[in-house]
Amino acid sequence: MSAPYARRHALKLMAAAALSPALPASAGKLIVVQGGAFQPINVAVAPFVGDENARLATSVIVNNFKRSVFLNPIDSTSLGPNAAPPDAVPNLDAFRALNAQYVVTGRAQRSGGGQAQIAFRLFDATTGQQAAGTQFTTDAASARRLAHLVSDAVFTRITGEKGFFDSRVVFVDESGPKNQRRKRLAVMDQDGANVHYLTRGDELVVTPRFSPSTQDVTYMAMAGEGDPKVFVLNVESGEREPLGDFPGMAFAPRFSPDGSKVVMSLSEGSETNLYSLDLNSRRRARLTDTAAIDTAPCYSPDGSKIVFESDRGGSQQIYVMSAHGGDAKRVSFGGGRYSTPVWSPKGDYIAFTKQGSGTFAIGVMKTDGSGERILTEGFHNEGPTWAPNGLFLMFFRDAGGGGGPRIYMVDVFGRSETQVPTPGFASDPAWGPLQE
Amino acid sequence: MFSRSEPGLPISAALHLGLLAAMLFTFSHAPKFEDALETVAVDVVSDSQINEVSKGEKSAKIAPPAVRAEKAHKVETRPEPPTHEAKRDVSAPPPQAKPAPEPNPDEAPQRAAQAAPPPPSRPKPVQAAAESEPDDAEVVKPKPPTRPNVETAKTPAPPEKPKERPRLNIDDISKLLDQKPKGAAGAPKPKSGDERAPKSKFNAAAIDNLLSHEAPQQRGSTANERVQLASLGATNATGAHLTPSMEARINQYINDHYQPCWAEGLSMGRQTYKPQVLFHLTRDGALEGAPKLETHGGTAVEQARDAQALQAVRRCSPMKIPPEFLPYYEQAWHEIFIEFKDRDQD
Repeated sequence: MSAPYARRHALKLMAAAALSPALPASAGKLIVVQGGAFQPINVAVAPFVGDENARLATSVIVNNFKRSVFLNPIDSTSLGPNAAPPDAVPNLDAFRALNAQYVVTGRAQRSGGGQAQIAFRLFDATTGQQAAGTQFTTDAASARRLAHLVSDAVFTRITGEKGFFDSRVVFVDESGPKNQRRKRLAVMDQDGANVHYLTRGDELVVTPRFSPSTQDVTYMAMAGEGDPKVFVLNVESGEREPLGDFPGMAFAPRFSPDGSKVVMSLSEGSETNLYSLDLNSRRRARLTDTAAIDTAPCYSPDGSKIVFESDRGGSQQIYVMSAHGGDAKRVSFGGGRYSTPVWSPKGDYIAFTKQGSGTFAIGVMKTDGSGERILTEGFHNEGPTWAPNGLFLMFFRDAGGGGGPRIYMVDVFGRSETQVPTPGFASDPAWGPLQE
Repeated sequence: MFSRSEPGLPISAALHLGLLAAMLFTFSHAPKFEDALETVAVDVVSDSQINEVSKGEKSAKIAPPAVRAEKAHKVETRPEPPTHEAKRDVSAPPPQAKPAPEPNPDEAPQRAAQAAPPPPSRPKPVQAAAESEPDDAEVVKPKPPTRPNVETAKTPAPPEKPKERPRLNIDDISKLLDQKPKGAAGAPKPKSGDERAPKSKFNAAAIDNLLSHEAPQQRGSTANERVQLASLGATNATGAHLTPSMEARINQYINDHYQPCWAEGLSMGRQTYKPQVLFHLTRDGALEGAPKLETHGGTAVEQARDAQALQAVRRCSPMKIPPEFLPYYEQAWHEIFIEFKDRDQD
């Protein structure tokens, strides 16, 4: 090998070796950061400016965020009233010092026409940019609803999920001694405010359910020694009508997602089967035909399937079938008895009551029965109902003794459980849709 | 070139070349560093899980006709029906002025009187969300405010593109070595020891300059000048060599730093979207320019995750670079590319 050739070859090797450490070894390389423990997002709600509606709005919004689990309201009163004027960018350095990720400012007052008006701005504390801003106007009597609308708008902007604050819950208000309970249908805002009674209390009422599309509530009522019957009551007018004249007992009614049908249980002799009733034509369709007790039906949000509770296999379990009836597939397989299944508005989970080993648990499972998770356990929990956004559940708990049942709210991760304030004892909650 | 009377230079050159050849031979046979293994989390998914029903909501459109029986019971009180509220967007306010220094308590009342809040910007036209206002409501139109003096924020200058490293031309180096002195072609080889023999044109400095991508400099070469070799593991002009183990340490440091600022999503394992953010740091660990999203979510939830990813980078800035990692600034710290995901995401 000649010297020049050797030099050229050696230099080629040398240059190739010299080049490699000169290039960034990690140019374009992806680092994966995987989430750790759950942490809510810190939102500072600056006191709203305005009249008495402003103080009400601030307290309602802060309370909503406290109950939301995913948003953590930060107290910013220490910053003083000038830290967040409603029509200017707030002092973000001061809010960042409080570890706020977002800042809400706003104004609430009566407009010149006597209406209630609220305007809010949501700022990203890390950039100073306005992330959202809306003004709402409504009648003066609905001023509280404006705070719920603001809460929903902020929740949606930060999480991307639908809110649930501007919604109502129908429930059974219970009063009097335990052996002579007076039960009345009542409706309230989801935070326990604005309670109104829908019935007098002179008949036994259970399992009320909101229509997803109208201001109607269906429920079972039993007057005196008569058979229980299913009714539909209009919340606005107070008018009600019985749904059909069926021989035997009718109970556990629930609306279809489009509000055009009601599915319920009908007992005839020793059999209890599921029927659907078309509210327009009043035509009745039998959905199950077994010697078992089939009850607590609930439609999937697309209306194509029904989940229900049945003891056809020897114990109470959860089954799924077509909304037109036919074969049903069992989806609950854990130890214990399963009841009161409800399909999430998102369509992805089924909540249930599970009884076993002396306890009553509220849990969720995927629609094929897998991924079962218990959210809360104790004596005696029952009757879950989904928030409109599918991220929260309400249920009632009767701790026993001389007291009575109360309504509680829990998130689907089981991270936080809070009691929903009611005038007295309360049971059988049913969460209605967003009011918008 | 070779002089019997002065054998030092050729012997030295031969020894150096022999050493170079030996090193290259040795390193070419050296075992490669193993590539850093990337672990991949695997979830076993059953057929039933794959077939899981995931339906979206259908808004209820059809309401049954209001066929009502006679009014049954009078209720004690009836809740007000939900009213249709007007709704309109609120535009962003003007940016806040720079904060004034701490006021003298004696001057505070005067300052408060003099300071005036910036006027609100012109509101957008009202967009009613639903039906018309009740007949007895008076629609109040706000007075048009004066147009504020809005200072638009200057957009930051885009970061300078890094200068392209000049391509190393092997042939240029080779030609340097092959350069023969003028008039040397055809001339008889000088005898060793001949002082009139032209000196070697082997310009070690020129070769070094080519390898370090510097402009060629005029300097004489001496027999004692060594060629600076770039070999694996040695320091070169651009920084230390980043080994896979060091890279893994740095990546773990970066992960540990930003993870506390990344909030777990509300997906319950259903979310597949993973936002990716690209950003640059100065040697002090401060953000250089704005972090940039490399992904763009299509749904509201995905866009919210994008915003949370950008917030995570900003909230966890600055990131102090430990001194032991600073030599690797160019390779591993100047540009960082992160993918954020939830605990239960693949």
